[in-house]
Amino acid sequence: MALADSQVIQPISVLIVEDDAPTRQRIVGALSNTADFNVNQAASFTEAYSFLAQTCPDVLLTDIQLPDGSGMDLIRRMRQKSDKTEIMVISILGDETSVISAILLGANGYILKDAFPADIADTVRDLLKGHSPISASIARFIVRRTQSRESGAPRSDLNTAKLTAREIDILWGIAKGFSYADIADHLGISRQTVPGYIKNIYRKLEVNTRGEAVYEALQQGLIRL
Amino acid sequence: MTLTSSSHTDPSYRRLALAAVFVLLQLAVIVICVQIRQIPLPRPPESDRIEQMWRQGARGEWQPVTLPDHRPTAGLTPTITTYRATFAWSPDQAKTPWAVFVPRFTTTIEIAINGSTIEDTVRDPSKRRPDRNTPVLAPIAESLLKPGLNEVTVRLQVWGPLEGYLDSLYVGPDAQMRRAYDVRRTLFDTLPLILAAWQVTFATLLGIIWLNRRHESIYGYLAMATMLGVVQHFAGLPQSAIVAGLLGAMGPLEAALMLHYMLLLTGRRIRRRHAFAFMPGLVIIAAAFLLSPEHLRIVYLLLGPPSIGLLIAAVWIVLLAAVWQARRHAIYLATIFTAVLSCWALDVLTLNNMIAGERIFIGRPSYSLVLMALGIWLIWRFVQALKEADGFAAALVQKVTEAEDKLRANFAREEERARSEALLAERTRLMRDLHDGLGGQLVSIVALSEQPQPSGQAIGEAARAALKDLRLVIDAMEEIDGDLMLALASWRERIDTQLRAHQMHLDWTIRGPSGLPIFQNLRSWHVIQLIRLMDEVVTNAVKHSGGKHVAVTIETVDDTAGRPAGRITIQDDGHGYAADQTGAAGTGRSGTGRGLLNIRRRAALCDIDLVTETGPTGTRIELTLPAEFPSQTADSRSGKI
Repeated sequence: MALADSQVIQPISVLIVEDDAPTRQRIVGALSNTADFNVNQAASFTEAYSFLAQTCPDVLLTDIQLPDGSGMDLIRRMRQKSDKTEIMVISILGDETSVISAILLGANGYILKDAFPADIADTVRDLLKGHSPISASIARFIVRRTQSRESGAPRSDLNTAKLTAREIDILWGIAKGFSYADIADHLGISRQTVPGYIKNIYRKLEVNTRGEAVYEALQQGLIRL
Repeated sequence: MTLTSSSHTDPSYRRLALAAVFVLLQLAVIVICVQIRQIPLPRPPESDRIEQMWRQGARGEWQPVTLPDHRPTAGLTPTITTYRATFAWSPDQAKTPWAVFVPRFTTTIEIAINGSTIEDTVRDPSKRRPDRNTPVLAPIAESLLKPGLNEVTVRLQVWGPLEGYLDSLYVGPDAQMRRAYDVRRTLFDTLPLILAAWQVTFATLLGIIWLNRRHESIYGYLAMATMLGVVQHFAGLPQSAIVAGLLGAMGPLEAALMLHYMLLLTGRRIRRRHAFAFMPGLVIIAAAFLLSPEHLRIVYLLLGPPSIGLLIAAVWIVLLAAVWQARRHAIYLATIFTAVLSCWALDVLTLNNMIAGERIFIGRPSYSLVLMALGIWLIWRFVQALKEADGFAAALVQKVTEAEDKLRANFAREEERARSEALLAERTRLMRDLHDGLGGQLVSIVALSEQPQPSGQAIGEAARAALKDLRLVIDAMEEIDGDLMLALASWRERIDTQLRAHQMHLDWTIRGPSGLPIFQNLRSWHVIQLIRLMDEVVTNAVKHSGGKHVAVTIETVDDTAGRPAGRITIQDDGHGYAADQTGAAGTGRSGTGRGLLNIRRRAALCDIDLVTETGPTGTRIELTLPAEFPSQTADSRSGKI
C-alpha cells in the first residue's frame, strides 16, 4: 500500500454533482476512503458550472435532475471542454432513457444511486482503466436498436450503424447474462479486452455534433432512442 | 275487340276511366289513319289524262275500257294484257320534252309509243313489287312522235299473289308530270329505302346488344323481326317456288317474333307453347322444298295470311291485357299497333276494291315505322337501364365510401377502446405487481422507522429490497419475446450486488450455448413470479444459510414429454434448514418457513416443478420450468391455492 501511495503523486480529481445531500455524502464518502481521489462536490447546476469554469476534473459524476438545471447540459458542456474527463451519470434505476441519453452526449458510464460504497469506488477505478460499465438491460436496448435498424421498421436516432458484428455479439452476451469470461471464450478473444469494447461502443454511439441541436432534441424528446 | 267487356267486375273507377280513354284513343288513331289514307296524292293536270283505252281480248279483239282497270292473276305464270290509246301531238310542242306517266300499276308494265318501247319496269326489280306504290315516268324521244295522232301501247304483265291493276295513263309535257312523279317517288321509293337502311342499322344495334346480353332475348327477337323486314324489302318478286315459299314464310315468322317480343315487353315469360307461333312459317318453308308450286300456293293461302292475322291479333290481345294492367308503355305500344292494324285493314279494303280513291298500300311502310318506334323504345329503355346502372354504381360508390368512413370511425373507436382497456389492464397489473412487492416493503420501512429504536440497517435492507423490486417490475414490463435469459441477466446483476454486500460470492453458470429455451407464451407476470421466487431463495441463502457461495446454474433439459424445458438450480454452501421449518403450510413461523411457503406458492402459480434438498452441506433448490407457461392470470389461479 505504501508503494501505491507513493506512486500517486497527483490524486484523481472528482466532481460529484448531486442535489440530495445524504446521497451526495454517501458517494463522497465512498470515494473519500482512499487517498486516490480528490473529491469535490456540488449541490446544484450553478455550483457545478462555476467549478467547471475554473478547473477540469478527471472524473465527473452527475445526477440528471438538478434543481436549477439538467445534468445532461453539464455532461455536454464538460465534453465540449475536455475529451479526457471521464463522465458518469448517477441514475436511480439505471434505465436506458437516462443512461443512453447521457452516452449520446458523451458520458462513459453510469452508477446507481443506491450502489454500495465499495462498488462505487470500483466502478470509478474501472472507468479510469478504460472499462465502461454496462448493464444487461442497456446492452439489450442497444442490440434491439441494431435489429430494428436491419429490419428497417421503427426509426431510431440511436446510430448503431458503426457497431461491428463482434461488438454486437458482445452486447448480446451481456444482455443474456453471460459473464465476460464466457463471452470472451465464445468469441475467441482475450478476457481482459471485453470491458474495453464497451467503452468503444459508447464512443461510437456518441453523437459527434456536440451542438445545441442534439441537446435540445434530447430535452424535447425529439430524438427517438 | 272491346276493352270494356269484362270491366264491370272491377270496381276500380280509375281502371275504367283508363280503359275509356284508351278506347277513345284507338278510335282517334283509326280515324287519323283513314284520314291520312284519304289525302289525295298529286296528279298531273286532267288534260293530260287518258281514261278511255282499248284493251285486247283473249281472242285478239279490242274492247273499250275505262281506267282504272283490274285484271285477274294466274299465280306464278305471267299473263299479259295489252292496252292502247291515241293522243295528239304537234311539232310546235317540240320545244318541251314529252313523257308518259303511270301513277299506279300491278304487276309490271311495258310502255311503247308508236310501236317503240320506251319503258319496261320488268328491268327494274324495285318497281315490280306489287305492294309498293311505285309510279313510272317514261320520257318520249322526240323522234318517236309524229305530228297529229300518235299511239301509246301499254302491256300489263300480271303474276304473283295480287290481281293486275292499271291506274290512269298521263301523256303530256314532262314538266307538267314531274312534280307528281317526284312526290310519289319520294314517298313510295326513297322513303322505304331510307326506312330499310334504318332497319338494318337498328337490327345491327339490337343484335349486338343481344349477342352481349344473351339473357335479354327481347333484343334478339326484335333484331330478327327487323332483319326479316329488311330481307323482304330488298327481295324482288320471286321467280322460283322455293324463293316464293321462303319469302311467303317471312310474314308469319316476323309476326311470331313480334309476338314473342311483345310478350317479353309486357313482362310475361316465354313458355314452350309459345314456340307454336313459329309453326306456320316453318310449315310454309317445308312446303316450299317438299311440295309442288300448286300445293305450296294452297299451303300459303291456308297458313300465311291467316296466321299473320292471328298472330297480330294475339299481339294486340297481349297489349290490351297489359293496358288493362295499367302498364303505361303498353298504351303507347298498343296505340302504335292499332295504327298498323288500321293501315293493314285499309290495305285489305283497297285490295278488294272496297274503298274509294287510289290503289295505295300503306301497311308495309307503317309497319316499318312501327319497327322503328319499337327499336327506339327498346334502345331508350337500354340507355335508361345503363343510366340506372351508372346511378346505381355511383350510389354504391357513395354507400361504400360511407360504410368505409363508418368502419374507419368504428375502428378508431374500437382502437381507442382497446387502448384504454390495455391501459387499464396495465394499470391493474402494475398495481398488483407493486402491491405485492414494493408496497409491502415500503410499509415495512415505515413500521421499522417508527419502532422505539429504529435499526438503520433493517430500514436500509428493506429500502434496498424495495428498490430491487421496483427494478424488477420495470424490467418485467419490457417485451422479451419469451427469452427468459434477458430477464435473468438483469436479475444476475441485482443478486450479484446483494451477495457482494454480504460478502458472499455468486457462481453463475450457463450450460449450453443459449441456456434456456424460448418460451412461446411467457408473460410478464410469469417473469415477476419466477424472479421473486428466486429472490426469496437467494434471500434465504443470504439470511439463513450461513454459507459463502450461491451457485446458479441455468440449463435446458428434456421434460417428461421429451420437450426442451428450462431448469434453474440455486445452491448454497450453508448448513441447511431444520426439517420442521420446511414442513407443510401453517407450521413455518420463522422467516425461512414463510419464505419457503412463498416459494411453493409462486412455483405452483407458474406450473414450475420445485425440488428442495436441504442438509448440513447446503440447500439446493431445483426449478424445472414448464415447456408452456400457464395462460391463466395469477389472480384467477391464486384463488385455488
